[in-house]
Amino acid sequence: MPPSDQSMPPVEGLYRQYGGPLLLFAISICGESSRAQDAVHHVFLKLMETNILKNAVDPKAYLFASVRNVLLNDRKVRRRNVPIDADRIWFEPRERDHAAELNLRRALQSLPGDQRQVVVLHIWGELTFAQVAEILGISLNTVGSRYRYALTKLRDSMSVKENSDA
Amino acid sequence: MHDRDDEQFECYLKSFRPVDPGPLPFSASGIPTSGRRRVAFAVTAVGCFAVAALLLITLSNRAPRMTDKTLSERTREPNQVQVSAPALTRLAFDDHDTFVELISRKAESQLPPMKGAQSALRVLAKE
Repeated sequence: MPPSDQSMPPVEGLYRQYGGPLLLFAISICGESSRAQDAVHHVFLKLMETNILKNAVDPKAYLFASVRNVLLNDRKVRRRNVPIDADRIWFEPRERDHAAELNLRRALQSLPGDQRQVVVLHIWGELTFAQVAEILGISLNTVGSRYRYALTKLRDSMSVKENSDA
Repeated sequence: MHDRDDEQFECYLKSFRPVDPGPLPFSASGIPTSGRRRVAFAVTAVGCFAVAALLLITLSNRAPRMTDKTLSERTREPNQVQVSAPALTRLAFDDHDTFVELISRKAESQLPPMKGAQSALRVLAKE
């Protein structure tokens, strides 16, 4: 069914608003930028065709869950701890600080996949722990513990690299 | 529970903005089309063209060709009677009128027309 004109602006607005965090979340799952981009595009094109988002209780969480489902349909991605594509940047370099971007990217790459997904959803997806638990299908306590472990590892990893760079 | 260091570190992490996934792939008409659809459309079009070409070739092969045999069969009159040479000789002796009529009919059917503007005699006379 072709998309109605009324459904186009909201979906495009959501794409502009959440496209970046969704892409980052997809990369944190599958490890490949191109595959992650395809998954995000697939979700939004599907939304434009079906306009199913208007029935969603929590559209933002629905988008993240949809991207995850698209990626998990691929058998290769179901393996845990997939190799991460380290060549493409994940973040816009803050004040052209490419070293800081690389530092953060490497720190995120060093995390286990489960912890990386929780951090990405909470920090850049700006989702609550309850939403993260719903999307990943895990308990609230598990989300909390994974987040704390991940944050500690990230801080240690980044501080070590910053010290070694300095 | 988050302590102050955690909050500061979270703020630092949030200051990094994830890269955008690029523009959505749209067709010229504004209808979203994914790569899979384009490929499927191309494959369908090529398939239809191949089937049409195959049908055309098959039908052209099945059409009857004008061979010498079919041509002679077409030109032959259905009520034409093949009479052998001895029978004709006997007919010439026994019934001369019938023989002349038979020969005339045979000549009309096998020789070019002798009447009209494009008759063989007139064309030969002009030359």
